[in-house]
Amino acid sequence: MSNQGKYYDTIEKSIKRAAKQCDISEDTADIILAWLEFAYNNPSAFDPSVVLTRTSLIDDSINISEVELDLENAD
Amino acid sequence: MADRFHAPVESRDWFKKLGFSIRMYDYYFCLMIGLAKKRKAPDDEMVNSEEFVEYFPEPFGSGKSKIISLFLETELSLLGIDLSNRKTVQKLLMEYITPNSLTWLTKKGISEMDKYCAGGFEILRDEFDDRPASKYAFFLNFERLISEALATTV
Amino acid sequence: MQTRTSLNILGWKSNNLRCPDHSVSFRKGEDNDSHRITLLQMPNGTGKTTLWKLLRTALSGDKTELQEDGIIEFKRKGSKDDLGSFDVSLLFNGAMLSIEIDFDFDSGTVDFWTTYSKGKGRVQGFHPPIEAMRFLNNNFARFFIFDGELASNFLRKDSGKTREVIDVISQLGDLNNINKFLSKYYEACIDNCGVSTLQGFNRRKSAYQEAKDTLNRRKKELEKLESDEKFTEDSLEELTTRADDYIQTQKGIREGIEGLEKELRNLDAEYKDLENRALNLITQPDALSKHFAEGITKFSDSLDKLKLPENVAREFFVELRDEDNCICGRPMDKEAQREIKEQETKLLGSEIITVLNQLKSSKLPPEIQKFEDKNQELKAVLGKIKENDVARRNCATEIEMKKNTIDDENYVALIEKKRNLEIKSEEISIAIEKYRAINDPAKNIKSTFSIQVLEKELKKREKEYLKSKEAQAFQVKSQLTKKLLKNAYQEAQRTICSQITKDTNARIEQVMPYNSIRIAGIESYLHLEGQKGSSEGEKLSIAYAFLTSLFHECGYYLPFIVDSPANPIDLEKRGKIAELVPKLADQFIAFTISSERSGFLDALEKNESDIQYLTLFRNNIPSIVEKAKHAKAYKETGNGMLVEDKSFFWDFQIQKEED
Repeated sequence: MSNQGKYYDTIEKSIKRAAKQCDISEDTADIILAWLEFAYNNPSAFDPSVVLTRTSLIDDSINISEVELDLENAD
Repeated sequence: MADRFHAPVESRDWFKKLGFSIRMYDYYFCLMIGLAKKRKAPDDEMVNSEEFVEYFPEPFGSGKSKIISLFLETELSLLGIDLSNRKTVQKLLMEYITPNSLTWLTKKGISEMDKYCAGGFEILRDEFDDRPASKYAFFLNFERLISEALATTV
Repeated sequence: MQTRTSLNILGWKSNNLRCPDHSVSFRKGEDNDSHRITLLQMPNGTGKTTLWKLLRTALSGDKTELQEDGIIEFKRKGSKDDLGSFDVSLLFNGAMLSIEIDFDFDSGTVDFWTTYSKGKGRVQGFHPPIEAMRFLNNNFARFFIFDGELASNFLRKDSGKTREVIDVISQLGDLNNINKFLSKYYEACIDNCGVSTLQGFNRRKSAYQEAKDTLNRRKKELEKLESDEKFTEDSLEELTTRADDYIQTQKGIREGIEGLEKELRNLDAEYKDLENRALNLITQPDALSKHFAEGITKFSDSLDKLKLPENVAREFFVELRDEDNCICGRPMDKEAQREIKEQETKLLGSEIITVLNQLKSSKLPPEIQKFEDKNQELKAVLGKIKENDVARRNCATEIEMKKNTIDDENYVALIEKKRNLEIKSEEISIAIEKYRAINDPAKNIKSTFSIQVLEKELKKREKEYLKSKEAQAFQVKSQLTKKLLKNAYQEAQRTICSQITKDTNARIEQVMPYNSIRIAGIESYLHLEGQKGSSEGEKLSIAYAFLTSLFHECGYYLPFIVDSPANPIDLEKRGKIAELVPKLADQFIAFTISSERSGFLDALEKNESDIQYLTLFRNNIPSIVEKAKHAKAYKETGNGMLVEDKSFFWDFQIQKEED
């Protein structure tokens, strides 16, 4: 990752671990990481149109089952 | 898209027991009462009507000239237009009539006719104690209603 | 170690701005090497603040600082020229890069121009190469262009500056941004659903379930009723058959009833025929009432009287206008055309004429049938229907009476049972009607019977429930992603800070081997080991070492531009900073004032030989200008002087600039 920043690997590991802990798929973690990679050298990474596309992608990648929804309600 | 006739939603249930084969019968009976009494439902009540066909199905197809003539005559009378005033009569005809639809009526024409139908249904509902259960009883009462209506409005 | 990214400032030029016009170069010789240390001395009032803002703007691409002050504030006082500029020359990874800021004081605008030797030449806008955008931005630039206060802030408990710089350099800040934007996204999604609370969701869920349960219950009830109806009908049929069978065995009664039943069948057939005839007549308005017939005729007559439709259609007149002569023979001049045009607007089109002629034909020619006859016919048919109805009832009653004369106990019981079943059948029919109705008078769903109404209501509630379910799902996802990103951030930050602590301590070991102070950890500030007994100067050295270590570990070799690097520090401690400075960066540019010379600059000279001495001042004090002209090198512009000379630098003394 020499062109991605010295600390990228650390962040990547943390995101993947946190995703596992939260029962979120690796796909979602990958999408977040892709955005981070894009942001490394792109000042437009947080422009409104980019934000809209990427947040939607993250959202679409997360599936909540009925059980999870009911469990949340039970809390 | 062709403009369709609109009949009151509740008329479907009301006429149900008579078992007419097509909805146009319901529309026709309501229309005749409405024309006889010269009663049109207001615009805001038309939301309670639902569309059905965009033409006069048989047996009404062959008699559509009479129905339309009667409708135009009633409308002219209700609007207070003198039948000898060529300009205003012509203007109304051009607003209501078109050869470009199966009904010969413009959107405006159908819309106004629908209002007579809705107005007529209100009268039928008030006059009958209950929904008609047999054709014969309905015909008798209907004919009587028409006669009485025309006796008072003419 | 990361691949190396290096940036050096080769010089800059300023024209028609608040600071004196000048052009400064940090080059050592003919090539692109810059001095390791440049000291730029500017007395108070020379426009140092202006120069500072211009530098930060040029190296970040962010015009905000200029726009906040107002562009016109940057114009040289008294100048009639409406244009100004500030150009910075850089060396980025060995290639030339220049950033120009052009001022238009008349329109109040400021534009960037970028020239990169490996790019497309001079282009409008702030467009350094993409690899440089990592640090040539507003967030990052303030960590290599800063005043001396920043360094001491790294040690202050409440400042949070260490977190800030680590966030920027490690992309943890980007992770926070992703968290923030994702949070906002979900807020908007939940807002869109129209319901955000758990109570709202539960309410809609209950309502949906209620509608579903009620519909299912009513469907089951209807099913039962229909089953009962069938059973009742079958039973009735069976009882009727049994009753008929019994009658068949009673010869006398049977013959009487058979005759009546035949008569009844004939009457039924007659009724059907009469009904059809009535329907046929009643669907003709002119048969329905003579007044209707008159109305139809009246309408047709009026069309005749008004000569509608006309014999001639509008099209005729349109075509006529194109002729050379009119029908009457007169020439078709402009006047004639105008008259005809007036006329044609009053006429109908030929298409409507066709329809009107059809309508007129609906009038009944009087000699064929008087309009009264049809109405009379209808009345007659209806009269016959009435008679037929009476006859049928009478016949049916007679049949019943004959049947009732049978006094056989079994038969009587059978008829009684049949009668009861008929009543029950009627009741079931009425009950079923409620379920099949289009409308329902009930005020609440639990009391509703109409299946259609219930289905409609269920659909509506399902939609609302799904929407709130969607909102709930968004809530859950929002919480999950927040948790994921927060946990990831915290864990990564711990690891990264631990790594930076190790790296910084290694660097301190390298650059200040005699110094025993080390970083114990990084929280929102640099937490030092053994702080008791350590001097301010030593602490500040740690802060500088931290910053440069951070950059170097990431492979960024950037210039350090510091305003008054030693000013906040006591005289005796300035030496420590001076020792460290040459080791921090490949290029160090310090804006100094004369009071900083002692303690800092003399210590600096002991540790580094490659120092460039520059003095910039306004040329409005003749004695100093004269002195400057004896210096090793100087440049004079219309309103300023830039002198490159060590002795001049050290002797320079102006307490306060006069504007």
